Amino acid sequence: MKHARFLIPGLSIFLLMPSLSTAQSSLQHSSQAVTHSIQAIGESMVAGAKLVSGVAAVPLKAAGAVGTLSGDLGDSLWEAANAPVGAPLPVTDDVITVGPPPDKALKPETTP
Amino acid sequence: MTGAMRCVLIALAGVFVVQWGVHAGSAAGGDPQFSAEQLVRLSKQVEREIASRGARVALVSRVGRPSAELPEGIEFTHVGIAVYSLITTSDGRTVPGYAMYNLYQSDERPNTSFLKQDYPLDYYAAVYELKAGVIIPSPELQQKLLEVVLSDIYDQLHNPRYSAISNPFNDQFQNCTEFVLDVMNAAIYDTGDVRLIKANEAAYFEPEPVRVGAFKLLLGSIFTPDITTSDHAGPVATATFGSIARYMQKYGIANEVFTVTLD
Repeated sequence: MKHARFLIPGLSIFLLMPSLSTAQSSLQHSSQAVTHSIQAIGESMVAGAKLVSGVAAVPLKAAGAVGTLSGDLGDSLWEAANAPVGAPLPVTDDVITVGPPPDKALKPETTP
Repeated sequence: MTGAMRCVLIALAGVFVVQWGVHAGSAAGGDPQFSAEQLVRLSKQVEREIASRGARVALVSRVGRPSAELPEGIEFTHVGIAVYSLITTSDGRTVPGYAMYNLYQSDERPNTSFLKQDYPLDYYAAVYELKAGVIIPSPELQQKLLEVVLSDIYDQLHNPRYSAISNPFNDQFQNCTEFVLDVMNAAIYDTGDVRLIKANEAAYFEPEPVRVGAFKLLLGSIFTPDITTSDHAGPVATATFGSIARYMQKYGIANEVFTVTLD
């Protein structure tokens, strides 16, 4: 029994750990980048949409290139750039993702 | 207690905590909980909902942990800034869409963070619910937010010392939601001065109380690197999507707050 009085607080900590873990994990690791998960999808078409990597993104306000785009896209973006905030904006049907991590990008593609 | 018994208990506790950390770390790897099709549909639906409202800038949240594990009052775990952009694709086209601007927690060093720009599908890849919270700021605030995101102030506001329950009223630690709050207040007050930003947050922003027992928080701060209460003088409270939404609604700087769900 002389050990029991020390064992009980010890066991209490163990019993508390799962709930502590829950509380902690509910906050931890919820704001991390998940690039690898997207790369794991590994498909070029999903739900009828084309998956493509985004090389660069320029906020529309800073996109001086709008004027150089030709065709309907250029026209609609020019209108969007000059429309008041609140007017509906066009978005691509493609699904954009970041590229693979550098180590994978440098690896030569292997044929299965 | 004998010294031997104390050692055994400490060792066992250590093993348990290590396992716990490893478990949490593997979850961070972000194996998708849903099919690629569901994730694509969610991310596209969020984009289209924002675009249909003509938002150049929106605050967007996700559920990065099982909802049953979330403390009371916390519905979303991560907030980022969606910015309407011209995106150049790897196949040489330029397309319109939203880019996400985030503070992410580091995998390798959980008590640190980094800034990253990615896209809605990346953002929603490892969610635990097909649900997103969205705040459309007022047009004036959208304009000012865009100016901050495009300026050096955006990077300067980043504090890489990460705590999941950081106190938004000081700059000792920062998490993703506090970063978004800081960016927003830099925009509102036209300043990159963190002292001014913090003073105004202390005056006007009401953070979400973290309803986790003091003893659990104490153990968490002892055993895990990304939980600390050292920046809190009193009850622990932190910035959340919900508290940011309430702040923006209270002061009339949110046009709309809504939730997007996918069945």
